[in-house]
Amino acid sequence: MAAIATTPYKFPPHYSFPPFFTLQPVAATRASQLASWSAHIQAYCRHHRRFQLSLIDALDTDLFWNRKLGKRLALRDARDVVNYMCGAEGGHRAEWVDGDKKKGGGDGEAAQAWIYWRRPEEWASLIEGWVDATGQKNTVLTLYELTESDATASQEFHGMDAELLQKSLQVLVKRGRAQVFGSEDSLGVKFF
Amino acid sequence: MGNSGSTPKISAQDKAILDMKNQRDKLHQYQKKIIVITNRETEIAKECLKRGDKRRALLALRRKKYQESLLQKTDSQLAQLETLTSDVEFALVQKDVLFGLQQGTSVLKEIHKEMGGLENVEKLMGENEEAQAYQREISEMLAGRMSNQDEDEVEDELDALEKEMNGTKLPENLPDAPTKLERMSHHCHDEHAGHGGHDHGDHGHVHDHSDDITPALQSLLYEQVDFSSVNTLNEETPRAGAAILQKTWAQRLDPEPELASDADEQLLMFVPFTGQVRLHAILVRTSTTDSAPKTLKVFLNRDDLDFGTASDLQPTQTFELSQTNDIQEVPVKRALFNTTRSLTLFFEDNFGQGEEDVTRISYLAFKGEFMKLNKEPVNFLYEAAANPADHKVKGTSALGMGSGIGGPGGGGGGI
Repeated sequence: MAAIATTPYKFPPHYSFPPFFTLQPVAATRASQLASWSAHIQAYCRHHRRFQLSLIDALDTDLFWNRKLGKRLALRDARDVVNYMCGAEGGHRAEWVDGDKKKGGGDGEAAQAWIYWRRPEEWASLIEGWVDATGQKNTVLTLYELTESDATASQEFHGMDAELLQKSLQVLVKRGRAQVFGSEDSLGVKFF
Repeated sequence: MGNSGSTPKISAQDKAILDMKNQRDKLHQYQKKIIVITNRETEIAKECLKRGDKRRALLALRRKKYQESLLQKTDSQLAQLETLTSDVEFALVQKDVLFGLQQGTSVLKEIHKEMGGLENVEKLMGENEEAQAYQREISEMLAGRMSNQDEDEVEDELDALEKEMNGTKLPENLPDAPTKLERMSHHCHDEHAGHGGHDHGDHGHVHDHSDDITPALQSLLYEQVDFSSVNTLNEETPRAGAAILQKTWAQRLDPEPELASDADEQLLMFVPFTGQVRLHAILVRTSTTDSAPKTLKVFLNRDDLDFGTASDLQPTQTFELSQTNDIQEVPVKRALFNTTRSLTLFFEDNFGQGEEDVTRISYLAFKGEFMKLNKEPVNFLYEAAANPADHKVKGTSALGMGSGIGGPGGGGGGI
């Protein structure tokens, strides 16, 4: 699902700083550290066009593991970072899937989170702008063609996660700008 | 079917289009799968050739060929489906256009109905034309009335011109020396009339066009003095008192005629008015010599005084005059002189302190307001008694002009 990147991801400077991989005890330093991790995770997922993150799997990737340094973020600390991103302080840049938030034991299996390097509201504005620019108001479009057709190949939302797409369209439905309809496996949307 | 319910904005046509587009998407996905399979078969063929297995390679290429034929069929189906979808969408647009035209026509018909149709419009235009014609008649009538007003102005101008012409005849009357005093009075009066040049109905004003820098005194009571009834006791020259009263404002600095006392320094002058006036001030010109009068006692509305009673009675007001060659304006207490019909002026002494037996006055006049309502009956009665012919002429003029011109008539009677 991840697109092959043309240019390699550019890691931030503090990625090479060993204490970055240990949550700091001082509150001010910790807040700064969490913000830096949030920015890093968002940029990494945007670069690799990943919309969801499995913490268990991600721990083994270079997102959380600097092999040259021999340092990696612990699972407990990674969860704290995501919790920070879910809150207002972190700008709602993440959301736990299926209410896994702050769950206790047995946490390894279901630790999945949306990473909102672009929030559903922001995706909604992007999609609506494209529909308007291409003169497709009052036209029926399938959800498939929005993300998979050649017509949207040049758009950011091409190849977008189907579930995230529906989240974004629900934002438009609430604003009264669109209506989603059709059967479960062949949904369509009409923009007004 | 989570979002199918309660979707009023979605029509049956929208759902049909969605179905067709979903079919299109499935065909697209199927085509992608065929391409993948075709590529895969090509790879298999290459590997078999490497191993020298021509039979298997040939088999793979045959499968590829078959898949490609499927792809072509799918292309045809896809094109047909997309054409159908476009046609349906365009038909929807046409339906909207037709609906718009229908709405527009309906609104237009409604408007026509409200206007009342063609017959109503024609009727309205007819009424409008009639109303405009009526307005033109009204305007022409008003224009006619305006022209009447212009005629009135022309007549006024003619009257003024006639007075000017009468003025130019005066020199012919001057040489009659035997009746010098009466001629003088006539001359003064007519000269004033000539200079006036305006409607005689306006008796509250006196105008002259001399070169004098001082503006005309608009409240000068000249027309209202009954000159013929003026009586001055102890005047040296008969009618000298009336003569100085009949001097016009333009003649106020003339040394002659002059009023001078005879036996002693005292003078008593009775001045009646042709109607009721409201006195504001007394204008008097004397001199800087001992002949200038010093004390002036004024009695209101009494015609029975002589030197004895004037000395004994309390005057309405007493004035101390000055020794000056200029015109003195002596203001009176207006509250005492609101209903003046006549004045008696008692010049009791002069600045000679008993040494100078002659008192001299060169100009005398009054300022105030004339109440016109009381003028006409007095003139009417006077003229009726004095001269029936004048009465008829005045009556005719009054009816025609709507203004009283008794003053000049009265003057004429006196002469």
